[in-house]
Amino acid sequence: MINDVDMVYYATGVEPNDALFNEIKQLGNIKVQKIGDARKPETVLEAVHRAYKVANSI
Amino acid sequence: MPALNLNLASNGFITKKLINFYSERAKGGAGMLIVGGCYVDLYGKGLPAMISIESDEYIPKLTEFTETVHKTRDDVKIVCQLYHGGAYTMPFIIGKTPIAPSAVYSNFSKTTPREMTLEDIKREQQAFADATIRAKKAGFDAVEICANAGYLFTQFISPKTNIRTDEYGGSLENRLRFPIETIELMRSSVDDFPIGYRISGDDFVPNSNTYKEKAIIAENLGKYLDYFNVTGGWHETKTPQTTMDVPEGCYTYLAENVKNKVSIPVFASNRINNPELAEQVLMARKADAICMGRSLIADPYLPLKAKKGELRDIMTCVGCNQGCFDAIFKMMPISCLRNARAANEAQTELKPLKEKKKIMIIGSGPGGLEAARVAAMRGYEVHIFEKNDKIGGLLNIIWIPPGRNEFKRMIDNYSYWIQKYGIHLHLEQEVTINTVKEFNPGVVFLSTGSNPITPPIPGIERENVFWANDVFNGDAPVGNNNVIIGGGATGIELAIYLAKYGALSLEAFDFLTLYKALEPDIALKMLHGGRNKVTVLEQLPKLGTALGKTTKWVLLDKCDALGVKFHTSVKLKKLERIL
Repeated sequence: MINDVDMVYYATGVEPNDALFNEIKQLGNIKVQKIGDARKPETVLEAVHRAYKVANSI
Repeated sequence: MPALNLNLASNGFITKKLINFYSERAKGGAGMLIVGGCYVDLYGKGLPAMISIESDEYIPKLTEFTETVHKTRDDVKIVCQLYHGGAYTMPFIIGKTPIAPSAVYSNFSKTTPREMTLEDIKREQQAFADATIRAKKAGFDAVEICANAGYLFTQFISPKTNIRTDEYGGSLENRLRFPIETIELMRSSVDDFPIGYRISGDDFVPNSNTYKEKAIIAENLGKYLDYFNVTGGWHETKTPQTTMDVPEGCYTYLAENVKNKVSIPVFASNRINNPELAEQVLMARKADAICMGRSLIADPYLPLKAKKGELRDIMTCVGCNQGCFDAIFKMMPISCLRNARAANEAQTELKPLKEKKKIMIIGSGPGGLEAARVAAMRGYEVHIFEKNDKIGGLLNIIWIPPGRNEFKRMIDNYSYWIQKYGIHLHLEQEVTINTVKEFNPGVVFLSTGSNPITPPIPGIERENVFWANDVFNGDAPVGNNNVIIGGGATGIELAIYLAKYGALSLEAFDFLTLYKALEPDIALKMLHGGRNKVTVLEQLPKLGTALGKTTKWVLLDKCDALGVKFHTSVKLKKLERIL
């Protein structure tokens, strides 16, 4: 037990914010790809490398 | 460019990847490429994917290497760094017990080496001489002795690791006997071939040589050498040498310290990541040349861009170590957080545009921004939609904690590239499916980031509970007694931020102590911070599992110095108000 606490903060991870993905996909005529945390929470290095690869292969 | 083991050799042999990597750096305008370390003898091999120069069979590939890189730019100088790890290597790498001046346990390799016999000494000295002959045969322009970071040469010179009682130990004169004899043997083996020396400017290890002794050591060795390349301490030091929180140019005084004692050229190293800073070091006559390692991994074209005055175009190293040093110590090939092409040059050439399309990028975090840059460079019409009034996404949070500020450079870079490549930026544009329909792009990159996971703990909804990032945003208050749930990278960075919150600024410290307005020891305490109590609770048995090896201990030591308390394997039951 920890007493006399003023403030509590949580840093317990994140989950993708990809709500638009399926909606865009359903339009049918627009190609859509996820990049960065929207695909899967990852490091900046992973996000940058994937972005390079994806943007260089369209 | 200083030597950096890139972990790209194959059984000691030069690979295509190494040739491509250095050709690119030659094209980019670096004056001198120091390659290696190349181990001179199996006893010296420090990591599995290092380059070898231990026998003649390596010469043909090394020759192909120097020829190809010289062909890329004929005035680039290529230097072979000669390496011997001594006690800093491990039995599983060399298949036998490592050797060193004395059988002193190594804090780095966690190994106790065997004390070198006189025969061992003669053999390893000869290995350095033979390697020098091979380097010259293979077309290198010079050799450099790797006598930094705690390797064999420093092990002989340091009273901590050399406790011999024969002519190679004891007095400084005796401890310098191995280096001087070796250099003289190398000299007598080749005609007219420059020999440089990578020196630790201060070992930053208790009971070893400090900058004071280093000045004397440099003075003694200088007459046998053609240049000194000055870096910081040993791998086992508890003083951070390379991480992002090491202030830029912090260790240039070590080069100056050597330069004051010698008449040969002196290079400065460590966290010199931009041409303005490099120029300042030269103008202040602290050094005669600047060594940039990670900065040239991040942008091989830094020298050419500096020459042309295109400073904002330089993809600046942020000192994160994630792709380079963290990978090296994990025995993996290097990469780079900034530069996806680093050490993968052949596979990542930009592809020509097939058909011009409109690309819609939703969200401008690091992924979205990099995708925009690459697509725009290839010729696409790129539009970024960002719901906030500025670009960067999470980068705007990541750079705020103390010692993580270099990430801001990424935002500066991309701001420039948005202009340079004509990327259309739509700020304060919350995108819905209707926006996408109306805009009707050919391709959408969805880089809308993430949302925080709120832990399912009773009491989490209380009014004094906040998401970590809201503190960095300035949207959450800071208390005197704070608890952080989660001891990952963010939790640890938040702990440092909270503990230092309200500390005296550097400028105020400088001002108040210069005018003697405040006692220096009191001011120093206020500068370092630690006024707020912070406790971190982690459910796993380990802290910072996603942090790289080189950064993790630095952050945890900092927490320790600031009095942050950690509890691991915690199962948090509830948060409640007790009246």
